[in-house]
Amino acid sequence: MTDYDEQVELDVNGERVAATVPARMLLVHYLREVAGCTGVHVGCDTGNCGACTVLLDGQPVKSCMLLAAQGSGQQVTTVEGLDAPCVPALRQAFTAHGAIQCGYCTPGMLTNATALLCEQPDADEESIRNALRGNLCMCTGYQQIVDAISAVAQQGEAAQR
Amino acid sequence: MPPRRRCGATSTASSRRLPNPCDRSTGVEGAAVIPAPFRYVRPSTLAQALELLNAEAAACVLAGGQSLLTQLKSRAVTPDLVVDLGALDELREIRSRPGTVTIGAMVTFARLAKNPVVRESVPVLAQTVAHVADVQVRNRGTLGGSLSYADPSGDLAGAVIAAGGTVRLVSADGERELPAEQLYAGPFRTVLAPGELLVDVTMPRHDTAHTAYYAVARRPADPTLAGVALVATVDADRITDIGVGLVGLGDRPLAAAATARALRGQPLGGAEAGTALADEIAPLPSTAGQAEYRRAVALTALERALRQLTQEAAS
Repeated sequence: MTDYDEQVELDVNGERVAATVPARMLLVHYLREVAGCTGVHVGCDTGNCGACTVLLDGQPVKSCMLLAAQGSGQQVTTVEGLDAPCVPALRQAFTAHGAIQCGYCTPGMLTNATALLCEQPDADEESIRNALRGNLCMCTGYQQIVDAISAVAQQGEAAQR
Repeated sequence: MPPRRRCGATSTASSRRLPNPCDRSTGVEGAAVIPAPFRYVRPSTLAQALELLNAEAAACVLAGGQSLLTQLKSRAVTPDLVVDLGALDELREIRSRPGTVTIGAMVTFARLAKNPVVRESVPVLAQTVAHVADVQVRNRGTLGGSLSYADPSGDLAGAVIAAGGTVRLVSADGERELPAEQLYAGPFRTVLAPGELLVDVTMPRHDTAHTAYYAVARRPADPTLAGVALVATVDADRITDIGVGLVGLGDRPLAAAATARALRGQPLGGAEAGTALADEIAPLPSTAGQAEYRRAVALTALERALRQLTQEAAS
C-alpha cells in the first residue's frame, strides 16, 4: 500500500509539534506516537467511548474521529496539558470520591469535565451527566465521577479560562 | 519508530519522517480501524473545492467527519481523494435576512445549539441538536455533513424539513435550490450529482412560531427510532399552519404533508393526527428497532411532540 504523506504541524499543550505522516493518520495516533502524549487513550477506536477526548481550540472532541491533518495549525490540549484553574480541584475530587477505578476512561472524563466547568463553573448534576454522555466507563463508576465533578462545581472554584 | 518524546518535555520539534504506524490496522475481530490510504486536500476556497470535486470522480467530501471517519476506518468507503472543507470559512456563516435565515453547511451542531439567531428564528434546530450524539460529536459534526449523509434517522433533517428549509447545491457548473425533503433519494443516498456540494440551508424565520422535537431512542444519543419535528403557527389556540418533519420512519427523512393537513385547524390542546401519520410512514427494519415497533412509537412521538408544543405555547 502506498501512503500519501501530509505535513502536520500542531500546537500540542503549548509546544509546536511537526511531522510528516500518512494523510490517513488519526489525530489520536499522532498525539500518542508523534507527540508522545500517551495519556490520550484509545478505547474503542470507533468514536463511541470518549477515552481519546482532547480539547481542540478549547472544545472537547474525540481524537479518533479526526485526521491529524484536519487539526493542522490548531491548538490541542491533552490530559497532560490541562491547566485550567479548576483542574487541581478536579484531580483532587476524582481521587477523594473514588472516581478512578481502572483509570482507563479518566483522561477523557477529566478533559471533558474541565471543558464543562470552564464554560459552566456551577454546572448542576443534569448538565454534568449530559456533558459526559460521550464518555463511557467500563467499570461503570459513573456515580462517583458525577459526584466528583459536582463537588468541584459546588465549590465554585472553576474560574473562567 | 523514533524514540517517543515525553509529552510536555521541551525539545525543538523538527519535521521528521516516521515509519508508518498505520500499518497496524486490525482491531476487534480483525476489523480495520485505520483508514485505507488516500490523498488529502484542504482547499482554501469554495471554488477550489468545487474544481477538485469536478475533476475527481472518486473523491470523498470531509465536513465534520463524524460519519465519514467511521466509514473510512471500517473501510466501508475507500476514496482515492479526501477533500476537507475545514478551511472554508465562507461555509461557516449564519446570515439573518428579513424573513429568512441562511446557515452555512459547515456550521457545527454545537453552534446551532448556541447561536442567538438560530435560537430565536429557527428554535426547532436548537431543540433537535440536544438529541444528537454527545458534546464531542456536536463540536465537530456539521449541518451540511449531516444532511448530505442522508441517514434516514438523522435528526437534523426532520427539523429542517419541518421549518420549510431549502438546500442550495453548488457545482463548478452552477447551482440549484431544492426543498430539503427533495435532497433525498433513499437510505444514505441523495440527489447530489458528482462534483456537487450542499453549501447552505435557508429557512423562513419562525420568530413567533411554536416548535417541538420529540425523538424516541433506546438511550440518549442512540440512533433515533422515531422522531417528530413540529413548527406551528398558533392563533387563538388553534393550529393555523404547521410543518411536520419525520425521521426514522421511512427510507429517508420525510415531510409529512397529510399529517400537517390533518393538524391544521385543530385546537392545539386536543390535536391528533394518528391516522394520517400511520398512512404516511413506512419504517425500515433495522438492528435498532423493527419496523412494527417504530410504527408504534411514531404515534407516541407525535402525541408527545404535540404535548410539548402545547406546553410551550402556554408558557
